[in-house]
Amino acid sequence: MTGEPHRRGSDLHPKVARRIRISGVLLLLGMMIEVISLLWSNPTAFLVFASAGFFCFALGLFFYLFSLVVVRWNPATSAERPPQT
Amino acid sequence: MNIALVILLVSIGLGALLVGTLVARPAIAATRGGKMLAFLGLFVVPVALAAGGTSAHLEQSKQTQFCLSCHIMKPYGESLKIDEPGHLAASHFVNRRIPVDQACFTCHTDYTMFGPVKSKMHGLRHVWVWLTQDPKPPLKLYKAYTNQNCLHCHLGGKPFEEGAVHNADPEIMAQIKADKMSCTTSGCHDVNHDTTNLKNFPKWEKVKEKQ
Repeated sequence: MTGEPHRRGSDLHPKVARRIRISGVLLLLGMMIEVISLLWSNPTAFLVFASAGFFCFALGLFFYLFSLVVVRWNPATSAERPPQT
Repeated sequence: MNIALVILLVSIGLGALLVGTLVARPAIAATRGGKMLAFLGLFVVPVALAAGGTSAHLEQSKQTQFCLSCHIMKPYGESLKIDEPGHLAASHFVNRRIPVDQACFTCHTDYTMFGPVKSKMHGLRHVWVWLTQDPKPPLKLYKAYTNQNCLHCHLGGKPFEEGAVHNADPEIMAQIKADKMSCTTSGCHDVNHDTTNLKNFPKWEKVKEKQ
């Protein structure tokens, strides 16, 4: 994918920040499912972990990796200043 | 709760703290150090925790209480306490010939490289069969019980090697070792889990206390 490089300094592209947030929330959800399933020693717990837990982990990792993809900067649709290069 | 599980739970807590920080302040990831932290928190740690969770679940699924937590397995758990020497599974359990906390897994896994994985796949198949076929006891194994599971422990042991019936004819020993004569279905050790006659036999209830 082509586009502008990430902004320098403490600025982070809003789309990247949003993807990191989504990724983090999904991973936290996955961790929560993992803890509950580990404390509940039952075949159903294993199934919950193997389905819902793995799904959250996989999706969280996907969103994080997706956030690494450079976002195209469109000054027409963004009120923020363009990246400083 | 074993120490490995405690370590994993603590790791999950620390991982959640790291991920929570990144969720609250994603701007951290804008700097070089922040990028490394984000990679650690949003990729390395979750992958490690998911792997740790899978491993912990596989360990938990070896527990006797895990297998017996399904209602359909209750009679099989009860059959382990039968206080009669002729009952194969019960005599192993009551006399501590197998680990009490991993009784089912010890006898019902293949002792091969991927034996435990195959056992877990069977476990998932149990769920599928349970959901689609409504099985009733007595249950049948997916495939015939192999002598290798018995010989994994008994091969080389005095009771097996010097057993009168095992040595009655040289062919018998050869056939047992080659898995051509089944230990469990050739009329010798054929009383395994007698779930249909549970009420007719005395139980050794002390097993329950230590389980």
